[in-house]
Amino acid sequence: MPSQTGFLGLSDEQRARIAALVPAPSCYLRVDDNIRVTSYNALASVILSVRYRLLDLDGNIVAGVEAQTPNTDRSAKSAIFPTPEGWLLGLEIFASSAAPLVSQTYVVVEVVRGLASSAIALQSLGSGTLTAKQPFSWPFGPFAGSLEGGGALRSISGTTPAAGAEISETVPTGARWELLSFSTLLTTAIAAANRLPMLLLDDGVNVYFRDPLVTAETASLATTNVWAAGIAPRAGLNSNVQEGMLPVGLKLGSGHRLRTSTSGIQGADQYSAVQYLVREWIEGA
Amino acid sequence: MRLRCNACNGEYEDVLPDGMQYFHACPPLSVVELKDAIAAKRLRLPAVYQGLLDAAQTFDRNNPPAADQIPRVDQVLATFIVKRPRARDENIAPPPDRDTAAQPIAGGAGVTVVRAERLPPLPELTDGV
Repeated sequence: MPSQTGFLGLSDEQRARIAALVPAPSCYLRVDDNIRVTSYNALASVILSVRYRLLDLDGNIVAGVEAQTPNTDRSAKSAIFPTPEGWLLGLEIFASSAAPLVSQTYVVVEVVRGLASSAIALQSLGSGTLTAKQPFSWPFGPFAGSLEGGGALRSISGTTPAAGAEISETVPTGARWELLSFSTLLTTAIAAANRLPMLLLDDGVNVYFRDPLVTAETASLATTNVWAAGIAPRAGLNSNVQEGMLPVGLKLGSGHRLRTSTSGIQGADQYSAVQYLVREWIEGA
Repeated sequence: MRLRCNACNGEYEDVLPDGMQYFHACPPLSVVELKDAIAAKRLRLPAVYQGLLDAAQTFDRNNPPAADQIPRVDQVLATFIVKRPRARDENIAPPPDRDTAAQPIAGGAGVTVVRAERLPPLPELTDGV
C-alpha cells in the first residue's frame, strides 16, 4: 500500500509539478528505500566514493556523497546508504583512493528496503568493475559480471621455497586466473644428479596438467626455467635457459595450484626468483 | 614485510609491489618428502594410491628410465597431494554471508618476520657513480 504521507500525500499541483521534472529513466525511492553497494575488491587502500542525484518531494535536486572502504581480500563488503524519498536521477561510484586496475574492484548496486543487515533487496540497479577514472554509473551503466572483460594483468612474485623444496602457488579465494607465463631460477648444488623439472597444475585434489622440461639440469648450474602460453619449447636454446609450454587461455579457479615437481632434486638445490604473469578476475567470495 | 612460514620455511612478501595482498599456502609434500615418509612408514597410502605406486615401481624396474626421463614412480608420486603437518594457508575461507568478516583457512605453524619493512625500491644509477 503506497504511503499517503509521501508522494501521494502531496497536493495535485505539487504532484504535477514534480512529475514534470522526473526524467526517464529514474527510480522512485520510498522513505524506507535505500541504496546498498556491495563491493568485491583485491587492492589495498581503495576507498569507494558513492555519489548520486535525487529529485526530492519539494522539487529540489539534491546531491548525496557517501564513501565505502571495501575489503582487500576479494570478499563481499556491503554498505547501505540512507536516501531521502524521491526519484533517483543518477548515481556513480569510483575509486577515490588508490588506483585499482580494471577487474580489481567490482560493485553490485541495489535498492533495498530497510537499513540493517536484514534489509530486503528489491531491485538491482547494476553491477560492474570500476577504477579511479572509469566510474560505475547508473542509469545507462552496465549489468556486467565480474568475470567479463580482459581482466587485470598482474606480475606476481611467489614464495621462495626452502632449499630442496618445490614451488607451490595457489589461486587466492575469490580470484580466477589465466596463467600467461611462469619463470623461476633453479640453482643446482654440487651433488651429482639429473634434475628434471616439471610444472604441474592441480585443482587442490587432482593434477590436470603437467609439462616437463626437455633437458636434464645437472650439478652446479643456475638455469632459468620458463613456461609460457603459446610457445613451442626449444631444446638446447641456451644452456642457462629452458622453455616449457602452457595451454593458451587456460583458466584457474580459486584454490587451484601451480607447482613444480623436480625429479632428482637434491637437498641443497634452490628454487628462487619465482615470478609469474596472470590475468586476474574477481570471482567474489 | 618479508615473512618466513614456520611450516614449510618458504619466504614471501605479504604485500606485493602492485599493492595486492599475497596469500601464502604451504605446498603439499614433495616427491622427496613422500618417499621419505613412505620409507619411514610415517605415511600410509590409501589402497588405490598404493596400487598406483606399486605399478609404477614395477614399471621402472622392468623399464629403467634413461638419464633424461622422469621415472614413472616420480610422475605418480607428483600427483599424490598430501598436506604437510601444520600447513599454513592464508587464503580466506568464503564467509557465509556478505556481512561476516573473512578468516584465513589455517594459521598453521605461524610465521617469522624476516624483514619488517616494505620491499625497498629498486636502486637507481646516480650521476658521478
